[in-house]
Amino acid sequence: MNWRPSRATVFIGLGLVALLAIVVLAVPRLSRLLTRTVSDDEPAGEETRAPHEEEPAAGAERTINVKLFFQAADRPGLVMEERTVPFSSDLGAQLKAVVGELVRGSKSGLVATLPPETKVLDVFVTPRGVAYVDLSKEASQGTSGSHDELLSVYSIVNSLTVNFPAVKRVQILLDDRPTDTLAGHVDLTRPLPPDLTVLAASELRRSE
Amino acid sequence: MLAGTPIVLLAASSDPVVVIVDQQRREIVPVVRGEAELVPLAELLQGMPVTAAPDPRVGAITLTAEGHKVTLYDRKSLASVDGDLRLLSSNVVLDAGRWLVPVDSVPRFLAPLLRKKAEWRPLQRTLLVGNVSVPRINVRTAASGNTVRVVIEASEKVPFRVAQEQGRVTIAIPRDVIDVGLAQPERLTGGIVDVVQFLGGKDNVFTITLGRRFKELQAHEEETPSRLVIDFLALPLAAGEPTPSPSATASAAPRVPVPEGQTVRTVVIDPGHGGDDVGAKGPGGTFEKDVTLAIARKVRAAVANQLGLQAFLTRDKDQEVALDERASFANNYKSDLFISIHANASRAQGARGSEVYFLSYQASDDESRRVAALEGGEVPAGASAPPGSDVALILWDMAQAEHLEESSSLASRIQEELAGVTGSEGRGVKQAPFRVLVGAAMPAVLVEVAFISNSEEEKLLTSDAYQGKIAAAVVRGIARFQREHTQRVAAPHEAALPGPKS
Repeated sequence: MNWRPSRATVFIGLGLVALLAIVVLAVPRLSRLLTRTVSDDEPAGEETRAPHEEEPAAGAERTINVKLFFQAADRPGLVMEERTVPFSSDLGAQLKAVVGELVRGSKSGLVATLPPETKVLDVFVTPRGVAYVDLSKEASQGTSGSHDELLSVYSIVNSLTVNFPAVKRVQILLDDRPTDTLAGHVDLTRPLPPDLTVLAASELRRSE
Repeated sequence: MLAGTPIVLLAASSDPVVVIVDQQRREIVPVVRGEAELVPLAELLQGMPVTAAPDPRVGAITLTAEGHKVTLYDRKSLASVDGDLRLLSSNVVLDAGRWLVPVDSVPRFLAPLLRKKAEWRPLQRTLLVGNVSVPRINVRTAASGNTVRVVIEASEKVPFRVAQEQGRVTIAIPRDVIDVGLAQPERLTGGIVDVVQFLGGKDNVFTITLGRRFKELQAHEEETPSRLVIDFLALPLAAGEPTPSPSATASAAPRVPVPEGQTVRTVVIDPGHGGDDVGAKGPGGTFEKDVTLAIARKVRAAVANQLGLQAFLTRDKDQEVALDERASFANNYKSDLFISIHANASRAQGARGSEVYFLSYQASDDESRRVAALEGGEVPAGASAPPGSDVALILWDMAQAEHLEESSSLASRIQEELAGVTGSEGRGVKQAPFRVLVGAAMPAVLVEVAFISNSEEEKLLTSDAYQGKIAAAVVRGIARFQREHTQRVAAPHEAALPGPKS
């Protein structure tokens, strides 16, 4: 395959390098800030606080409940599954754990949207609420049609934005680099806001 | 000493710019300032029904024509068009009483002022204003056995100048402006002809690079339609060499004259995937790329033959085409519609039916702010948008934004027709951020004809009859959109444009 970087790609690439630099500089500071907000005596506002945080039981690991979006097995669209995951005071690490749960797949018979071989390389969040989810290239190997590709992308985007209000938009990277699409359809050159129209409508069943 | 060297900002002149206003052609010598090329406003407006009123106190000049008003400001890259600010590529300059405007930005204010089409063609250095007929040149190749046929077809009579040089053949079309339907060099296998490409230049030169098996050529010109047909003949094939397979067809669809005033003239159909990118695979082994090409070809034929529109494919063979190139192709053709054909796939059991998508567009906060700043004129004086800049990027990313409403109704019409064929249960018109639609500067939709992952639908998709039914439904959708669209724009269109004097 002949791949020559287009002007747009080069610019996006340069922009991303700059962004990475900013993130590398800013994220440690941000996460310290966040650690303080959550662990200090002041109750954190809903905006920065992870949802449904459970009271830490004495001696037990702190956990949070999150809603994971998987693909419905019997009809088009995404369905939610609740899951308890370990709490992390670092938002990036927390998001990484959530994406890891998506890769691990459903425990209630729903269809996984990412191949089990996918590695979550890193997740970091900018101060403006863009989460960059860096996946190994295996992520693109399970999908081919636009229906599945949409669900793969939005299972990640929705799982992060719905559970963590501090995350406004999500951009998926493959092997540390920006990518046009996972499998030729959904535009990944820019961060995506959540899309709840991809949820499976239970009403669909009635018409069948 | 370097510091003592005066910085010379004297105006240099460059090659003349061609201005064609309603078929009247003239040349204007531009003035070069830095990287900007400016033309004198007075010379530009010659013969146009425009009144110019300079206001030296504020350093502005106001142009009026039939109630429309444009104001340009000295040393600002802005134009106020009936109260809306438009960004120009560089500063307007008032130089010794002469107003100079950046030539590439002339359409930005002249089109709304005159209520006429205006366009700057940088490669041909030509400014087109009003009803200018631009010949559209289409190139097709066909290989069969020991012959490669190259057909260069024009939408109106044009001169062809053919010359054979060492290892290549050049064809020049000496006209001011042409539209070329060859976005990228076309490479052929078989060793008779290697590459067909458009080089451009003043004489609009095409080159055909000859392969190692080339022996001789035969060329002839045809009148209606105006076209040049060149047959390249090969040396006999050496034993053991594979016979090259035909890669494209040269059969010209009969051209039906396009009625005047019609708003949809050209349709670009995009068969999804291709080459190494096979797309989705059906359980029976069918590749999406083959199904999309077969259906797209049928759509093209019906759009040309039944609707009498120009129709082009972004690929007419099994080749890989980048997503952005597909939209660029449609933009270069000045296509009025862009229709991308795909077949769907799902991991979920039983997914079936067709879906038609248009772009879900949501500018990021940053982009909205920057675009608002550009449009609102909150840009420091002198700020401009050189090509390839962030702004150009944003503009590419927004090309589809202003067509969403039309894209939505085109999607509805096609889906309504398709539903009758594919029985799409609960599916329908949807929005998604599909990359292939982002850069399309015209109503654009992506059609997922059926689920290739569903073995029943896969079987249907490989049948010629079913492909034909799907193509016919898509074309009925296009026809309905065209009818409604023509009705909708007809009234304001006629009111805004002064008709020919009777």
